[in-house]
Amino acid sequence: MKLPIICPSCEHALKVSSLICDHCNTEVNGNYEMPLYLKLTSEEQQLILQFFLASGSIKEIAKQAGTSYPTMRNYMDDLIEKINKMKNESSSNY
Amino acid sequence: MFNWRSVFNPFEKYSEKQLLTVGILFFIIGCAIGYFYNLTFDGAIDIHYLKGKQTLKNAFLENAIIIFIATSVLFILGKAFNRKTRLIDILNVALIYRIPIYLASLFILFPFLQKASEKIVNDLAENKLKIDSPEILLISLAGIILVVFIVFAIYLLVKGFKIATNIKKWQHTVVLIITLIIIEYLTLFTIHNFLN
Repeated sequence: MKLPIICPSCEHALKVSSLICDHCNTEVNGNYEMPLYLKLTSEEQQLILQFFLASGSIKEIAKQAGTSYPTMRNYMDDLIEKINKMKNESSSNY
Repeated sequence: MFNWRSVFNPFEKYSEKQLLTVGILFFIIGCAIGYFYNLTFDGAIDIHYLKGKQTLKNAFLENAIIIFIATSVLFILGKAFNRKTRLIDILNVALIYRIPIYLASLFILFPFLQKASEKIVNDLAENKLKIDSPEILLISLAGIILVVFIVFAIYLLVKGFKIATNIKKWQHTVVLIITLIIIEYLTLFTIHNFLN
């Protein structure tokens, strides 16, 4: 099942309010910030995983995705910029 | 598999080796067209009939100079925009954008266009040229098609450069367009002064 990361009502980032133990049904409630990785779209998460599994080779994941090297590098650069922006936003919130 | 996206944006999909192979192949075809049909590619987006006979050496050098100047200037600009810009991507842009220009040069070789052109020149000399003659219409139509080819070549160059450098701002595109004009004059100047 896909983890929702954006509020369907106002489109702001969602937070974690409840965690449950599958074994004993203990439930923890709070207001937890979602880890940065989970704030990314599933396609972006998949790409980061692919990049890791390809030992950090842009050439290799470009081949897998059927795109050219500069197209994939640009996509990665844009993703890095997005993550840096999210990091800055979350650090300025504290 | 063929799709229109590969025609309009080959730089997005194809690897540098594939683009380089196709680019070199068309470079050779372009040189051969210039040599066999007496055409001169004397600028980044220019094709002209040559009054004399085109030599194989000049046909090769003209295209080589254009690609060398376009690659060098665009690579310097690309590096200024994005330090991750690779020479191979810029070289591929300089090779691939010329494909529509080579195709356009084949188009102008159609015998009926040459005949129409000759008739216009003769009619003009004899002062009996009519503005609504079928030849004028044909040449005008051919002119429009040629402009489409040239626009497509520039479109490929801009698209390829944008992918090679990851530029997104409109200011970058303006600088690129100005650079293309500089490349056009640089190639014209170099070929006319050092070759012909």
